[in-house]
Amino acid sequence: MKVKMLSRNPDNYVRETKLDLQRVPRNYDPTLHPFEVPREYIRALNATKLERVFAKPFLASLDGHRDGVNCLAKHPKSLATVLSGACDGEVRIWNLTKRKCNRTIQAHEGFVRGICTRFCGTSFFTVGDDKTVKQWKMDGPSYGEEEEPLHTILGKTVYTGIDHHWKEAVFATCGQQVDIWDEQRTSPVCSMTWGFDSISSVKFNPIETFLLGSCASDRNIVLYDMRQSTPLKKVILDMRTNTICWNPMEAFIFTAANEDYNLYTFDMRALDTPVMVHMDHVSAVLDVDYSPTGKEFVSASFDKSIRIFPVDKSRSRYVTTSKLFFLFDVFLS
Amino acid sequence: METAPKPGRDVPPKKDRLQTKKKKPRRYWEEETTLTAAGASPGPPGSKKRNRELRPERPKNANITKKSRISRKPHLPKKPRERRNLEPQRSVSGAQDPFPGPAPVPVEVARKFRRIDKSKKLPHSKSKTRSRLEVAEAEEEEISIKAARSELLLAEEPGFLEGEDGENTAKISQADIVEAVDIASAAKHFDLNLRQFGPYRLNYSPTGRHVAFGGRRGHVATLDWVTKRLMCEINVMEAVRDIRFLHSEALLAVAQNRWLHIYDNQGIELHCIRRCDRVTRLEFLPFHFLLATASETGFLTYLDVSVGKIVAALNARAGRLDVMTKNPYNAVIHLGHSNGIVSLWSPAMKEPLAKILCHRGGVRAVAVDSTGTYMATSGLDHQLKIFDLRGTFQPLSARTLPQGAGHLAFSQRGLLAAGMGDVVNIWAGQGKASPPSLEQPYLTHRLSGHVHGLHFCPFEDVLGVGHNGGITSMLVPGAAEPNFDGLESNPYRSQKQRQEWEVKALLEKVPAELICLDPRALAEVDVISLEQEKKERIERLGYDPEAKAPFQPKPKQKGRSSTASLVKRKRKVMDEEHRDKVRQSLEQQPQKKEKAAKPLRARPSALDRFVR
Repeated sequence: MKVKMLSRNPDNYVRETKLDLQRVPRNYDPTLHPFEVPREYIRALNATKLERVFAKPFLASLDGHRDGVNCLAKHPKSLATVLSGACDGEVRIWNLTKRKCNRTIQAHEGFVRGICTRFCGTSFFTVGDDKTVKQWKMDGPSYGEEEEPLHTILGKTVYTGIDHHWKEAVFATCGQQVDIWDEQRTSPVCSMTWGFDSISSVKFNPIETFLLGSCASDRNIVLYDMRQSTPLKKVILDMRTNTICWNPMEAFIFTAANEDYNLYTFDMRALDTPVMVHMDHVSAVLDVDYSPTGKEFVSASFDKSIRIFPVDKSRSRYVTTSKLFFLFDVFLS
Repeated sequence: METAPKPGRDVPPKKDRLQTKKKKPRRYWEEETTLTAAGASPGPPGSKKRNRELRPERPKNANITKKSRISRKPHLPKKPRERRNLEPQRSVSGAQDPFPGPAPVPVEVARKFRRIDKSKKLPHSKSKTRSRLEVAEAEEEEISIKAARSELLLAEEPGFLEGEDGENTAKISQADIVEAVDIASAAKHFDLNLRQFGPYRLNYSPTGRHVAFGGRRGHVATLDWVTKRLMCEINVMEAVRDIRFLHSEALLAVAQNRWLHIYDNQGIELHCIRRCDRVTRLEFLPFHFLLATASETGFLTYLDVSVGKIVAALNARAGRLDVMTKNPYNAVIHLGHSNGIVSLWSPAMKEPLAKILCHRGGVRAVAVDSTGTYMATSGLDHQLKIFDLRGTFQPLSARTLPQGAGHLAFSQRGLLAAGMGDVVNIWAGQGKASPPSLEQPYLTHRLSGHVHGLHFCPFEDVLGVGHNGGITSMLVPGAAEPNFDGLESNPYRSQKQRQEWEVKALLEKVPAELICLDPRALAEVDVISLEQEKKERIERLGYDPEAKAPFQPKPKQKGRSSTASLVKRKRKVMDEEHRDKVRQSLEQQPQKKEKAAKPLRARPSALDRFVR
């Protein structure tokens, strides 16, 4: 008879002194680890839940505006600076790190409809309900000086949006038509229309800097070439597009925030089908902005939520909701 | 020799028995020379081989060259040693690596860790999905190879018991084994003489460190059986039907005459669960924290012990339930009924998942092995059957026992113990993954009273038997898994480790709804419901949105495009498609014909011309 019993020496399994680490022998035999799939599923579920529980996405609120904030702009050179325009015509410049307001300007009478910074970061432009376009210095006036715009342009119609060229002293406004302005002149260099509806936003392409896109309330997105001074292409969607945003890394790609709760990423060269439809919002999408890497974008919606989408995914990777406010403008940096 | 009477035909010739009786027990480390000196005659090779199979199958680097699809490392030739000598690798110091390249991995071991079933074909999917599946498959293969490599680090080897040539291991008594093994192992064999409180049921804790036993006349005790330290001892003054540890040794569920009670390790009653009344059998599902109770009233009740809620109460509609076991692989509860049916239950379903007709009479005992592959049942018809639980539920082997088995238990390594009257028989299989062969028992032992409960101790070569006269701890070499996983159930864990494990286990509690026959179903692509959804969508829409659009010729860009030519082009494409279809069907037909024609006759006969 030959016999061997399983006999373990406890010294091999118990730590010698209290200062040692506990010994944990492993055996990866699947029969000793039953239910690995359900357990792993529960683990993943718990991890996502805990991530949500411990997430603190809200950093701070910038208090000071006496009326609703209608538009936001970021500074091209300083990450800490943010500009905001309110419904009472007030523009404030904020320092994000100190969470303080640096400067307050009473820029317009009525709404500030659009705000954009110059590419050099020395000045910024605002348009308002008082049919004016104003250029302001980024730095405050020196002692004894009055707070006055650098230039003021009186237009004939209300402007609803403004965007500055990324390299030249040219900017574009939109309203009943898209106007291209030279900074030195008081009349537009050219004005472009396609159809007769009001245009809600205009955006310059950051790479192909002569291209610009606009979206109008007759449900279409129109692309223009500044050099040709004619519209290039147009795509008509089922519902109105509120804003578009160009991908800062891929010249041909832009994303449109639509009223039908979706965002559409288009390739400029093939407008008949979108590259990707991003859905998750449960109400009209109001604004969209790309991250500088061009991999993700953020969108704000009328359902009071902010979502972050990867560009190649149709579902959002992150969501946060605010309870109180309507969101009008977001950006990602 | 004090062994149990063999079932009829197994009785070996008397001469043989005498021979074995004279032989002195030999320790396993003793040399082969002593064996020849003792004059052992060469026995039948078959029996010897069978016993050998119990020994550990450690890879000896013999047939282990397997080129992995994913590892881009050089393919190891069949005789790596010779090749290495031809082309030694030079290092900076001039020394040679005697074993260059990655360590070889035995195919069988790697297969053990394989999780994705490649034989299952998925329907045609998009290239993106397919590439993702391929990546997952490659990762899985790499992981299985890594896990197989780490097999080398396992410290312990399983036990074994071998007879000398021609010796029947069933005739080796416990006393012989105790005499032959080391002191620590010999101390694991003991008898508790508790005649006063009637037949005992017993249960080992999941780590195998503690044992709880409850007598019919109310005696309940828990014991650290390794050190023989008594944890608690009480008398509940009521009949104890069954006893079971919950997730750790600190909690104990006792099925008493009227209600289910839960005690802690000091014998303090924590809960009395009146919704579970007249419970006959208890089972605990450790990963779901569910205590399944089968009652006299015919209900199978699942109690979630982490929150104290009853998850499901299922009416089996089969009268009194007193045969129950769990499938450790998928947490399905098996109930044995008096009409010979074994039914499989999950708390998510009101009806049984499956019903298996196993016996002509009632079912007396059911046991399922740890891999969830085999189920052993015994019935009133004195049969002991082993069923395959993978898909078809077919009986693999059956055997009539003179008395019939009243209790069955599987060990971690697949040994099957059966209690028949006052005798315990243990059968062993060829290896870990094979069913126990019922021809000859591996061990047998006679007790001082009728068997009332059987349980193999996890991670120890010990079988606990509760009987009329108390408790017996039997030595069964080769029963238990030698290498435990410290993060799952560690017999040597400290209190701190236990507390940490408890928190983690509670965080990972699997919901009761996930219990189904295939626990891996959650990770697989659900083809059936996808197809169902597609079918419903087609019905709803009235057409197939994903169907290939019929060919529509484009109008000519240059020149005149006449309607006739358009129709002609359309016709052409349609004809081409039709021809393709016909060609395909023709290709398939002759194969069928050949298959049908071939078996008729090999050579043509002259008389064939008259066949009409």
